[in-house]
Order: sequence, then C-alpha cells, then structure tokens
Amino acid sequence: MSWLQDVWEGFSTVLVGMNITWRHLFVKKVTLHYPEEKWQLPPRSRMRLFMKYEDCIGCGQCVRACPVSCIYLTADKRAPTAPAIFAANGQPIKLDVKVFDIDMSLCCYCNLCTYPCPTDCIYMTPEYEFASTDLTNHLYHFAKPNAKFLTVNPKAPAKPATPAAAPAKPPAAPTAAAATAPKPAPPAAPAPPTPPAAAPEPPGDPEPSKA
Amino acid sequence: MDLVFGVLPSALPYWLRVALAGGLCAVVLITLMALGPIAYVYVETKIAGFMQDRIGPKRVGPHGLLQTIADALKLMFKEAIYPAGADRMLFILAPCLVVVGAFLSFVVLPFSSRLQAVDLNVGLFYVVAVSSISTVGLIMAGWASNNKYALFGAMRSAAQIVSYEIPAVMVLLSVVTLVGSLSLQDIVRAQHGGLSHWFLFRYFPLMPVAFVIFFTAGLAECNRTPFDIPEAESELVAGFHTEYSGFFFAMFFLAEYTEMFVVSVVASVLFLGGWWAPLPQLQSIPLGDVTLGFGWLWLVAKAWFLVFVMMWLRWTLPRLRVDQLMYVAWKVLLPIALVLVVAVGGLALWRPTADGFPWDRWVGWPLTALLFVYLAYMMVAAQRWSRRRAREMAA
Repeated sequence: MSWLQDVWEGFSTVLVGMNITWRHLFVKKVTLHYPEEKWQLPPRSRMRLFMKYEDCIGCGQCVRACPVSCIYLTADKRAPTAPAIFAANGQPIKLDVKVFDIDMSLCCYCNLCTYPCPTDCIYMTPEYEFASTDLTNHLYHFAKPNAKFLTVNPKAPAKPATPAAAPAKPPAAPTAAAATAPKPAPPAAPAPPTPPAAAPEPPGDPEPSKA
Repeated sequence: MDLVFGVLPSALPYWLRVALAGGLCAVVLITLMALGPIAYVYVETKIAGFMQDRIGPKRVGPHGLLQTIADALKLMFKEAIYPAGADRMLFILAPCLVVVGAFLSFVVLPFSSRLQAVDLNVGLFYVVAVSSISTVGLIMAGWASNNKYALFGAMRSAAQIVSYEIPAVMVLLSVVTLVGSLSLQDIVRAQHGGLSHWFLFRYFPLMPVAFVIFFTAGLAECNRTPFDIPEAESELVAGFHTEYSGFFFAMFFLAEYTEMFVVSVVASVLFLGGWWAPLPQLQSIPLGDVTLGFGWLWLVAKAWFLVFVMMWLRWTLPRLRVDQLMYVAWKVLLPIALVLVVAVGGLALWRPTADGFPWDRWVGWPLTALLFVYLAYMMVAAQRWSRRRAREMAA
C-alpha cells in the first residue's frame, strides 16, 4: 500500500512542480535589457569617485582615509601674495593642488574618503559604466590647470550684502563675479537656509553633521 | 514512398524508380530532421528562460530567432578535436551511428494517412528496434573517447535505455493488443472518430496510466532531464560527449532532439490519435475537387505539444540519482506496465468490455477541456500573481 502511495506521490508531485513552472512561464520577466534599459540606481550608490577640484583645499584627509591608497595628492603652498581663493563652503584654499589622481582600478568603493573631506568636494557618483580596455584609463586626473576658483568668500557676504531674499546669489555683486557666478554650484540655490552650503551634486551625503 | 513511386514515369527502369523514390523521401526526411532541432533548441532556450523569469536569447535576429542558426554555424566551423589515445574510427563512427539511429525511425512515422515513407507492417517493432541503435552509438562514443567520464556516461545510458525499453515496450504491447496490428497506420486508423476514441481515453483509468508510463520511459530513452544521468553535468562533465567538439557534437545534439521528436510522434500515434483531428470536422477542408488535409498538421501539433511537455519537465524536475532511476524503471514502471498488459489484454478479450468501458465515451472531452481550462486559469493567475508581486516590490 505504501508503495502505491509512493508511486502516486512521485507522479502527483511532478504535477505540482509543473504547475509552478507553468505559472512562471507567463510571469513578467525580471530581465533588464541592459544597454537599452538601465537600472535606476539609488541616489547614494557608491560608484565612481568624483572630486570637485574647485572646492579642494588640498588637506589630504581623503588620502589618509583611503584604505587602499588609491588617491594621489601633491600640493604646494600658495604664495602669500597670490589672490585669496575659497571653497564653496567658505574655507580658504591655502594650498595649490598640483596633482589629484584617483586610481579607480584600485578603489574599493568604501566611501571612507568622502567622510573626512572638510569641503565635501570628493564624493561618489552613481556613474558605473567606466569599463575600459586599458587599465590606465581608470586613473582619473582631477587637477585642472585652468580651474576657476571662487575669489570671494561665498559665506562672508551673507551678512554685509543684504536682504534675506535671494541669498543664493550674493556673490554676484562683488568684483570678478562674472566668471565665478556659475561656479557656486546649483544646489546652493534651492536650499538657502542651510548654513554649511552642503556639497554639490552628491545627494547621497550620508553625514549631515560633518561640515 | 509508394506515392512518389506512383508518380514517377513507368518508362524508367524499376530499380531507378525505387532509388529515386527512396532518395527523394530520404532527402525530405533528412531535411525535416535537420531543420527540426533548430526550432526545438530555440524553443527550449526560450522556455528555459521564461520558466526562470528570464527572456532567453534576444540578440541575434528579432527575438533571438537566429540564435540557434548562429550556434549551429559556430559548431560547424569549430575544429573537431580528437583526444590523445582515442580510437579514431569509432570516435567518428559513433555520432554518425547515433544520428542514423535517431533518423531511421522517421521512415515509418505516419505524418498523415498517405504522408509516410514506408508503412511497414511491423512499424512499431521497427521503431523500438531502431531507436536502440543509438545506444550502441553512445557506448561507442564513450569507449572511443578514452575518457573515464565519457565511458561512465555511456555505461549509464546503456543501462538506462535497456531498462526503460522494457516498460515502454510492455505499454506498446497493450496498445497493440487493442489494435491487433503493429503498423503505425493501422494503430492510427483504429482511433478514428474524434478525441473520445483516442487510446489515451480508452479503458479510462488504464490507458492514461499507460500513456504516462510510455511518456516517462520515452523521456528516459532520449536522456531528457529527469533521466539525463548519462550526461549529468554535475557528475560526469558532459557524459558520453565530453570529448566531442564541432560538428560531431552538433550531431549528438541533433540526435537528441530528433529522438525527442520521434518519441513524441510515437506517443501521439499510439495514444493521441496520430493524424486524426480531435473533431472529425477539423480533419480536412474540401476545396472543390481536392481536399485540403490537415493530418500532418495535427500530428505535428500533438508531437510538439509533447516535446513542449518534455521541455517543461526538464525545467521543472531535478535529475534522479542512478539508483532512483533504476528504482523507477524496475520497481514502478515495469510492474504497472505488466499489470496493464494483462488487464488490457483480458478486457479486450472479454466481450462486454471489448470496445472499452461504457464510460469511455464521456471521459475524453471533459478531461481535455479540464486540462485546457486549468492551463488557461494558471496563465491568468500567473499574470495576476506577477502584477501583485510587482506592486509589492514597488511598495
């Protein structure tokens, strides 16, 4: 009798399995047709590193934080006579960053370099399509020889310059503003009240208490 | 073949007419056999994908339609590698023998009442005999490869095919007792009269069981998945065709898919009414003088449905262990098949049940309808299920 039961179960459970596979035959497929359609990455995805050169003060904290030493930084002291320049959050830039290279082929995507940055200028972007046939293409040079720095402290003018209205644009008033106006990063505009003028694009900035 | 033979002018010498008719049939059948797997492999990859919530091939051609052709071309242009120490002659002969074994069954497959190369009076016996030739080819391949995995696979497949042939033949025997003939045409003709006369629905609980046994054994004989231990990837690399590459490998593939088709055709001839339509009205369309027959279409549709079921099973069931395989053959299928042979034979002899049980007329349609309604319901249920899951994932 138990033999018959075994046989019956052997065949009827096949039907149970077939039931499941038949159901999956008509289910919506999960495949993403990759090059045509792409996955919408969450905003805090840790993909390629980016460094906003205009905001870097050359402090080298990211270099020290990096567990795999994939950031190469060389900075000289700026001559005291050189015009003062500032990062977007008002920090004076006292060092001339000559080299700021990140080797993405070494990077382990730990995001540790972004936490210590005092100006939030280094951050991870959701950009992940940077495969290359040459490994050296993964060495990204961020130092720009003709970068346009802020020559006016973007934070200082907040009190002299005036009306509480439109606080985002105050740097436009003083001299040399023409060139620098577009620089102070769009995010400053939508969020006038935030004092630290949080870093630009990286909405994924996990530490609000940092600056 | 007789058809072609009759068309040829009688002015030609007899031997030439025979050769021409035979050659023509062979060419048609070989083309059919060679092109079939292109479709099956594509369908199989698609079904595999769908059942795993993927989409299968899609790059080569629209919806990946040219994928199999590309694969076949690739296999043809690949180098055939002969392993060191291989018996080269057997190594080359083996795939040819396997293909020939699979192909020879085509000779008697009745695609319609007249579309058949040869109507042998021992057709069924011929199919059984010929399909065992490929076992020899498999052993040859395993032996000639000079590779222990290949030999293991070959031995396993020999044991398996020999074991499963017995229940399959026993079940065939019960059908043959009902018909009283081994000719495949006679077997099909005996199921005249619509779906409820198909052997699947005769002697209601008995013949469906016979069908299941035959289908299971057929599955084992073409080494399809629940029974694919001869090429168990996880144990034997690839079994008997481990050392084969290029065109020889393609030939093994061809043989496997051809055998699938042959088993399905034989199953539909024996149990699903062969080239009979489920309704007699659907059999043919009279167009003035000629009638447009759909016999071959019905047979191919039934066979492809069974091929689909084989693929369906492949992506449903895990592989059996060797001992389980032998258990199924000798302790489950064979006893039931023996009981069936005796029971069907006795019932066919006893006058009150000589034409089947009284309720047989009323079983076929409801069962078929139930099957299709159920499948349709599962289709709808799957859509609903998938939408609900998508909503849950979005939330």
